[in-house]
Amino acid sequence: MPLDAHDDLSDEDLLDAFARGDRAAARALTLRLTPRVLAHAARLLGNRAEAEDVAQEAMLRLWRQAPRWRAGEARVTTWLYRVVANLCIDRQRRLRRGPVALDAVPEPPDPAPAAPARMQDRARAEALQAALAGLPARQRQAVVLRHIEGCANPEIAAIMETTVEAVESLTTRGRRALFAALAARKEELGYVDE
Amino acid sequence: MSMSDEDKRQEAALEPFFEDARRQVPDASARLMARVLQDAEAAQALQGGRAVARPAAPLRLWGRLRQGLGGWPAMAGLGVAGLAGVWIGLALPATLPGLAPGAGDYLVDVAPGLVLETGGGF
Repeated sequence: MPLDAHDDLSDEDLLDAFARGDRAAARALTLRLTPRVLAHAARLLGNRAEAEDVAQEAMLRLWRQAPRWRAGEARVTTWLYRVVANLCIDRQRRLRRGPVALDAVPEPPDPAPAAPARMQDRARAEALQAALAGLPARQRQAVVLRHIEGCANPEIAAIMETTVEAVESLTTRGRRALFAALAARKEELGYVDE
Repeated sequence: MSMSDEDKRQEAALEPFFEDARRQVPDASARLMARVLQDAEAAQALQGGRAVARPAAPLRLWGRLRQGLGGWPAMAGLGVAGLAGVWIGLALPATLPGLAPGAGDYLVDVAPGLVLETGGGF
């Protein structure tokens, strides 16, 4: 089956095809999910190199889980976000060190000299990442899932294995702390209130 | 926890930061993608297309009996023994060879009062 034929398939259907030995499904899932998993790990860990290791390990666990995947039980991304969070917690415990903000900022897509706008984007990303790094781990996870990954509260509750009320509380407290850290820098970072 | 007006204002103030972060997904390096794909193909080769498949269906009565007796080898032995029994029964001569004359003298009637009704004047 050609790769484009997989574009319309859901993650769950692709995983089913993967489990039946479809190599194109393996490629499609790799291309579709690895960047998302990497981005999530980078935001939780604040360290690009560590995030790459977590992303590879999370995807490896997905491949191993594929033959036992039960359709309709969970979304693949929900499962992956949970695995990533657990791997990040394990890694942070092992390393016993705080997140490092700068490494988490995405590399520019090409090596062209940084334009002022791009430098500002980078400064904004660094500022947000530094503020996120200052949050307790659960608040950071909830805020990232809600406001950056775009998950709904019930899905976040499933990922974090908690209640929707607890998620709301975590995101609210997380936003308050972020606001305290970032509000003073809005002007400096080029955000203009409308 | 319901959102206060202040919380809503703060969320709106943070939205530009979140919006930028959503746009800036880190590039997964070619090296990482290659490693992930290599793992995927290795897992597929190992699993052989659902080789780690679903649990087997529960055994029916015949299956449980076969398993209880020790599987197919035991069943084959049992079949051979059964056929041998049938053959011995059919091929047995009227008097057993090797039974010495006068051996009946040693037979003991353990229930002399018991008369078997065999019918047919025998």
